[in-house]
Amino acid sequence: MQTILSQFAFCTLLLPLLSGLTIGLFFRQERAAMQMAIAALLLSFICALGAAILFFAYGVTTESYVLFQWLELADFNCEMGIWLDGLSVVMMLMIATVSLLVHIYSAAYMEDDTGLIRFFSLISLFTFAMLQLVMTNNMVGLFFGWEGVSLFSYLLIGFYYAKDTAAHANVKAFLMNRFGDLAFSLGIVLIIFHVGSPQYQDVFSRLSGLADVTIELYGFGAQPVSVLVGFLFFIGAMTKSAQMPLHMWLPDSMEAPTPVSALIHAATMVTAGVFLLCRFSALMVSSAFLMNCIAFIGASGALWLGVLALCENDIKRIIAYSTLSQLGYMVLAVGVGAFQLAIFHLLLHALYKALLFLAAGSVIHALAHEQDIRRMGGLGRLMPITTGCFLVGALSLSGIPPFSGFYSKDLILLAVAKQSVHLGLGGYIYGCALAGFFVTPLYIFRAYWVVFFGQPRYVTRMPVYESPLAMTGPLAALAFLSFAVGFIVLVFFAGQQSRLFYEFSQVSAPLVPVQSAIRYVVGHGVVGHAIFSLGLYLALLGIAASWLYFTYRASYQGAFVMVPKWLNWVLLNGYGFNWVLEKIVVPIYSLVTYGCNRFGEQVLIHGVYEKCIALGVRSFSFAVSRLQPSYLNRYFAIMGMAVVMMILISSFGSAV
Amino acid sequence: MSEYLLTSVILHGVIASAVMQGVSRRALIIQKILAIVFAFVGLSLAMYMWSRFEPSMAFQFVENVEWIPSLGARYHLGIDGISLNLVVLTFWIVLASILMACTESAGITSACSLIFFTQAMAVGAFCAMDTLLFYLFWESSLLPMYLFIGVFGSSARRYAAIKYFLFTLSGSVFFLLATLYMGVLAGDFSFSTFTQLPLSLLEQQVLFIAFTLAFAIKLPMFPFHDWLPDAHTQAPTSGSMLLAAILLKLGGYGFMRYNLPMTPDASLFYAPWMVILSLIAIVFVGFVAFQQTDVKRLIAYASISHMGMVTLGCFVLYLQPDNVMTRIGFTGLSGVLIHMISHGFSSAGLFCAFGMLYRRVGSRSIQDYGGLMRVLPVLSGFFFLYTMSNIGFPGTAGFVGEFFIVIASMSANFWVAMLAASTMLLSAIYSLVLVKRIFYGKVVSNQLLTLFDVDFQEHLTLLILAFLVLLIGLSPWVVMDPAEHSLRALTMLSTHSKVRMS
Repeated sequence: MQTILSQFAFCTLLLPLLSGLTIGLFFRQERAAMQMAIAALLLSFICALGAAILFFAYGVTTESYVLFQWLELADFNCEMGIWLDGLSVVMMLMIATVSLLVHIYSAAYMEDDTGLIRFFSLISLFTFAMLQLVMTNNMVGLFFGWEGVSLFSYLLIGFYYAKDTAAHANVKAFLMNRFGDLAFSLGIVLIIFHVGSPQYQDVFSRLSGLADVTIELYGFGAQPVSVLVGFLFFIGAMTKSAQMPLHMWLPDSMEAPTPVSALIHAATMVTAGVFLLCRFSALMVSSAFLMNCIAFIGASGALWLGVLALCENDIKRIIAYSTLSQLGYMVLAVGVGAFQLAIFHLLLHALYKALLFLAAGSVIHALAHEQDIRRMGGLGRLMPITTGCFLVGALSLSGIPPFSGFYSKDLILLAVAKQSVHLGLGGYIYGCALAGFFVTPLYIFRAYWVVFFGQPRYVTRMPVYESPLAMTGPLAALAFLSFAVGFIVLVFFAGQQSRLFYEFSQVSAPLVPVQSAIRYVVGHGVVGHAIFSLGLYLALLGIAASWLYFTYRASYQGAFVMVPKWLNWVLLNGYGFNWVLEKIVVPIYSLVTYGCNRFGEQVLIHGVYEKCIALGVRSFSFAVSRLQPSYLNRYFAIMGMAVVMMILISSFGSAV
Repeated sequence: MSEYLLTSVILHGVIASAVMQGVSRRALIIQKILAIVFAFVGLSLAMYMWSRFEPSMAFQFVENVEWIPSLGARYHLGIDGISLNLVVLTFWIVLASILMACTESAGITSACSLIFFTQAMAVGAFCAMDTLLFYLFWESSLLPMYLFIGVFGSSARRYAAIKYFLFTLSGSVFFLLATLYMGVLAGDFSFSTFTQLPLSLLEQQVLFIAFTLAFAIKLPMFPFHDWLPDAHTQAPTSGSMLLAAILLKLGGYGFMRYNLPMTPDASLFYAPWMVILSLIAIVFVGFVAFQQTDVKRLIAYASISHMGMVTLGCFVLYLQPDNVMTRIGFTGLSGVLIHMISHGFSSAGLFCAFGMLYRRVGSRSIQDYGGLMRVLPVLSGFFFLYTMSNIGFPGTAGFVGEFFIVIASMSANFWVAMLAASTMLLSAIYSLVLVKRIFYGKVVSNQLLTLFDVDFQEHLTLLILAFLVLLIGLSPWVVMDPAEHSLRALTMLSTHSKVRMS
């Protein structure tokens, strides 16, 4: 059984790599490339399913398999391989599922585009990198995957390379991620240095010991290594999972083709940060202050970035801001110590957010690349399947029972309510989490009403049809999953015997009440609990409000057209974060580099060599050359002086 | 065969250089074929040596004959894991740059002859176990590159060639004096005598400064780097490849062979300053690179920044807490070696790929490029791969060395490690902005639309370098396996005080 499990896991990981490389390097036929990519992903998905079934059926807890030796030194041994535990198996299955559906969907969605070979190669390679990130068995391999997803995201955002906006967005995404990678790599280096090995089995067994080791931060006193690493990892997670204030790359990354947005910028890559925080939960809980920061940032993002979705008119950007808001909930769940709920929400969000993106893509495809919701409307009758699927996604996102988003969101709210009393700014955190429940349906149903109902406002030369089966099939599959998965897997994640995440249950003492509250509610029925919780009513209120505003009043403008001008500017510019980045940080960097180049390099260094040293040598040689004029009498004079000097010196010398 | 292996490896370059001069009247195709065959023969010699190398032993393939008996200088050759890697690097790079030079239409024989001569001298310097012999090769490697830049360079070639020559030569003067001083004191000139020679701290400090001047100029280290951007911009593509990949490594090799083991106490004394200069090189030069408008200048500044990592890895050894000094020092020195090798491949790759663009477009200025992804997809892909290695992307060669050096710095001081790791971000900024301007966006001129993508020979060159970049990134043990023993020995020597008891 062990060997079959390992073979399944290896196949899951390596098939996308092989197909991606083969397609990219050798294929010249677009159709064949497409089929090859889908076939490989299908196999990969089957293997992932097989591995997951074996894993849970046989009650395996943790397995590590080695694939090859990256580097072996006497005191540093790094073996690349895979690490299977509840967390990585769940992530693996989610990634393979969404990726497969996105592959199939892309085959129809992208058929008019050029560069399909590049597209399928990159998207398969991205899948590999993401699987590598979650399945690897050592810190170096984790960093490989972590950077790999940035790279393929960069290449896919820039898929339409002739577009200047795409070229801008991909550099922005890569560099902002790189900033986090810098912090993350320092954390990895600290762990490797203090543990002495990059392998997970050594790292996890000695992670808790890092709290007793301190590191001298000149200027900041001696800090426990675990806290420092926790902060560094959190910065890494903030960029990858696009948390405020490092989120600006995600809305811009909507330049990518829509299937890419569904796979990378909703379901997988952006959840890598949450995955990281959960993977190293032992580090996060080592500092209460760190947990408080995590909760604060997560809660802020959950509300305030959700509000921004109300001001957007681009359907993809609306969903992107919604992703930011939901990522905020995941990070908030981490911050209040409900790690299993963060992963639960991550999983469900991946499904319904991919669904929403793909449904949006279906609309965009039908309207010949129109993305502005003000130029849509009335599509409900023409595209019934897409409309239905979007509705399922929207209901799930809003947290309406029995759709799956409800389970995770309600439980997160419960955990926040329990824990926020112990947190600094707890009231604010709980308030944000609660208000987010109202805002979420507001923006997503705004999109729903405006796009699918009301008068048609689009102008197309072609009649609008429902998308082909290759697109509606994955939509339907995701709609089914978004509907059903939450209820089915709830007990595995948060139930009494949630063996899946047993490592999270052994958390530090302050988190015990949260954990037991979650278990109690799961044991006694989440729906029953929700009837007494505010979240559900706020969500229903949000739906009603958006219906009133956008359908009853038949408005399709942004919700904030009536607010003061300055507030409008603030909201349209994402609270000015982007403005600060592009109008302040980037110019400052340019100015500093300009100063370094102009004054440091050219004046100081180049100038010193050119002016001082070269001129010095020249003037010295000039002076020396003056001693050798071509007059005989002067030579004689100098010679005579020299002779006198020599006699004097020698006589003094002998006298002394 | 193994007895005279090193001599034949050195002679290969000399003979090839002479033969290439001899065939200058022959048909172009014969010249090309001959040059490429020579390069392949050299590479096979190097790979043979690599396969026969015994990782667990110190110096191997030793040849030791009298050379100048009156001085005690000997013709003493031998290689350990450190030199082996650099020699193999040299032969790979020479192959690539010969392939590159052979795509030119004129002056092939002279260019190839100079390349082979540079190769012979560089290999000689890496194999020498006698300091005078090392000095001979070291100085001789200057000449072919001087001619290369001066004869085949662009518009300001004379200025750049003279600058290169004067800078390097002025460092060498002190180096020669220091070598002579130690040689007279010790009675012979072999490396092993020098490393065991007890010296007072003052002597060591003076010698350290003399050595450092020579190597810091060659490497080049901040603030002695002024010659490199000029030399790179003016040199032809194959010359830039040799310069960046091999000749700069002589400086790093010098630090590892001279400063660390011969003057360990002075190295300890000056280590903070060296580390500060290295960090300035990494951060400041990283800033400066961003402002460049000339692509080759930008790559040159990136090289300087990377060489800052090399000196950092060498001298951060002395900032370690005592209990982990040898363990982490070894990590740092491993990083230095891998970083030198990987920088050799990635910078050569960048110069090579840009050389192909330059041949097509005829401009080094970034603003003359744009949107080339559409016209030259294959070349864009390779350029991007080398760029990734240049920014230390995991899975490529550039990552490994940087990673190890950052580990070593972390053990010394968190902030040093942070500044060292900042190269991840800084290099990504200037590299990706460069890639964006050259390959993304609209095609800026109609001339660019008519370009042809790479031909077979160019493709081969790019593939060779790409293969090596990925090989080292994915299995760095090809470098570390042979070198581990030597690096440990070097770490021991470098951390062992040798102050003369008076």
